[in-house]
Amino acid sequence: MTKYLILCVDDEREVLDSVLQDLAPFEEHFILEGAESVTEARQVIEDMADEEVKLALILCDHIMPEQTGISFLIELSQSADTRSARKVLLTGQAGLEDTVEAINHDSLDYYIAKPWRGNELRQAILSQLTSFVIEQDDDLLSWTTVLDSEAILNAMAERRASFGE
Amino acid sequence: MNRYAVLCLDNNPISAEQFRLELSAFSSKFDIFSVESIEEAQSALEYLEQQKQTVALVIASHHAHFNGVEFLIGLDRAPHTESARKILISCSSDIQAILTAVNEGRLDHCLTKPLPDKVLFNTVQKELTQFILRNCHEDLLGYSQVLDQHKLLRAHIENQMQKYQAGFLHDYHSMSDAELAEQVITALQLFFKDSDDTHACRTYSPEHLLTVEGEPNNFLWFITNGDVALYKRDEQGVQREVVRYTKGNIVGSMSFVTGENSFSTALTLSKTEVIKLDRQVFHNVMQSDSNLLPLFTNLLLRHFNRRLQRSINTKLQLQKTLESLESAHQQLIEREKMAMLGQLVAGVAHELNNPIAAILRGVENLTHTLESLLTKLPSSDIQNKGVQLLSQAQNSKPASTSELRARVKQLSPILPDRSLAKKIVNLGLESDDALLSQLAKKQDSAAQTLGTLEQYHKAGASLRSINVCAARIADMVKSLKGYARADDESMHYADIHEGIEDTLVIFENKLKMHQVSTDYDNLPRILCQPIALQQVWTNLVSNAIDAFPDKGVLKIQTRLVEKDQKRYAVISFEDNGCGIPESQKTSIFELNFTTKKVGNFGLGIGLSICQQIVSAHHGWIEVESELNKYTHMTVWLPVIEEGDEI
Repeated sequence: MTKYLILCVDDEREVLDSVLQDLAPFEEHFILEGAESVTEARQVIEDMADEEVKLALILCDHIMPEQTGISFLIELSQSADTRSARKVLLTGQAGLEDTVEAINHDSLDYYIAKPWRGNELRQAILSQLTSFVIEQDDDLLSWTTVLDSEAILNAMAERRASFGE
Repeated sequence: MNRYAVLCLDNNPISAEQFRLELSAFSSKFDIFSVESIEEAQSALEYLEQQKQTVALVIASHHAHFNGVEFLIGLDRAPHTESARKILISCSSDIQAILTAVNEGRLDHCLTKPLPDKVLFNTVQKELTQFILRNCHEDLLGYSQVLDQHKLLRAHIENQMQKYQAGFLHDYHSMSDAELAEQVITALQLFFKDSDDTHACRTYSPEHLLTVEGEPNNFLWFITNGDVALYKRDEQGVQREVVRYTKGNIVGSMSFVTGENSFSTALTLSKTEVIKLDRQVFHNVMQSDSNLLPLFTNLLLRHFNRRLQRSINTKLQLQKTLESLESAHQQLIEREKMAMLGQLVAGVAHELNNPIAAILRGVENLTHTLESLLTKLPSSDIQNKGVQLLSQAQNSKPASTSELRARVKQLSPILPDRSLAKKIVNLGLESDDALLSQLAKKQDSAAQTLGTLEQYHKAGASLRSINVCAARIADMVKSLKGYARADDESMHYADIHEGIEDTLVIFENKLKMHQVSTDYDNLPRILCQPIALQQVWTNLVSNAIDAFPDKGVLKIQTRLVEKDQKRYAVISFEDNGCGIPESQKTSIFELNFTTKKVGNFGLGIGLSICQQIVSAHHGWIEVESELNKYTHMTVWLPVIEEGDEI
């Protein structure tokens, strides 16, 4: 099973820690990392790329110093290595204008409002990760027990059909 | 038949004849009756009454056998005789009779016989002159031939003068403005009917200029038909209509009378008929008819008085407008405050979501952690270690994520399992060699122990996070509470810096993307309205944010400065934003000035209100700016410390 990176970015440590705690169950099959700034996030993605670990999902706050979450997501969608990563915004306050811009740049897959519920967050991330592996991973079978098995099995059936089996 | 009669009563035929002779000189103006008995006299009076003639003079003789005095006294009883002058001719020195005549009959003159020539004539002339002067003002001149010409003439002139002066204003009271104007116009038209050399009566087409504001004017126009509008330029050079004149109104009167330049510009609006007079023609007209001068003077006086009334009414109306404007202004200030507060609350509410999310998550996680900790009780050794980790996590700020990552990396040669290494680093157990070596050997019990210890650490971290976030919420609420002020906030001693810091908390969210530096002097607590001032700081910070480029820099500085032997707290806000164009620097404090775009702060009248607040503190605001470089706003507040004399 290929290891993928789940990266959470929030400049507020308390918020970041609670996100990481909520997502701890994914650690078994993913590398879960937190970053307190966009610069740090960039560095983590780079370091992981060196270890051949691909970014599967980024969960990002919007209002941060240096750069907003949305502008970072747009940046990621414009780089070949990170284009396929699922991009999730976790925020209490992204303006309509910014959000629309991100959607139009194909840089936003999901939007979670603060405060969130642990189960809902995990469910959303699970479904995003499922989409990611269906699109990006050749060995879907290994993911059936980890992610949304029904969706993955359906996808596998479809694949077989398209290969003419 | 004359209007007035003279009655002469004497029972002595010789005297009567003499009187008749002497009185005949007055007969052209007075009917002369000469009678010789009281009875005859009575019937003469009756006759005169029938004829509706008035008795001007009665001359009566009196002697022992002829009671002329009684007759004279009786005259007072009839209307046509009561005003008559009375002359008594006495034969003897009958003092008693004379006194009775004086006292009861209001005797005017007393003669004694024998009468020298002309004495009676002179006396009668004098008395009749008196009578005419008193009773016949309207025709004094008609009697001047027979009576005292000099006296009557003088009285006549005096009367005329008086009448002229008295009537100058009052004679026209009953007339309306329109009637008065009509009379003047009619008189003028009559004057020009036969010869109008100067072409005074003329007709203008619409939009013809009669007077031009600020330029000399030598004419007076009577509008006889049509409309003329008067305009005046205001300070901005905009021409404003002052009044509209129609028939009967006068144009050019002020400059015509004073010789000053025209006060306003007069323009015909429609086809307009006028009578146009220059000074010479005006003079000629007035000379031609002495009645015209009072008439015209009245018209002009009324014209000016109407103007005055209009201007007083306008002033009253302006006063009213000003008052309602003042209350509208107050409402606007109130609305600005509310709009600002609304936006602040919305911003802070958003901002509150972060700590609230962390608290909610923390509580939920803590619940799970506690459950698992309380259900499987570890050995007391692990428990002790766990409690230690818990209090450590609760009391110390966690290391940064990048540092933690670096430490995980360092640990990887000893402990290649990234997930285990991460836990060790998070818990700060890198120096626990026993545990590390057990983990390296992949002992299940070690991993289990680590899992248990992690639960303790998590519980501590959650508690800390909840604590930190609750404190942050309290901070924000406190800074927001500062905005809820009563309008009549009292002056009290306060720390200026506190208000600025609160404002920065409020804007934390918007300032996150930018750089803020504060440089505070050691300011004393000064007498001020801290909440009102917070509105000033809020506006200045908000303006800076609006002006910011992508990477904004806001420098806030406070200084204690002495100027003109007074101490001031000088608070400055400098941004590196778009700046203020030179042309707008003076108008930024005006109420109707705003560069506000949708989404900016408040109603966009903030600076005007800031200035009001600062001047209420007897301070002022200075502006310095360079386009596309910076804006530097400085607030000067006089320092009044506790213990200072106010």
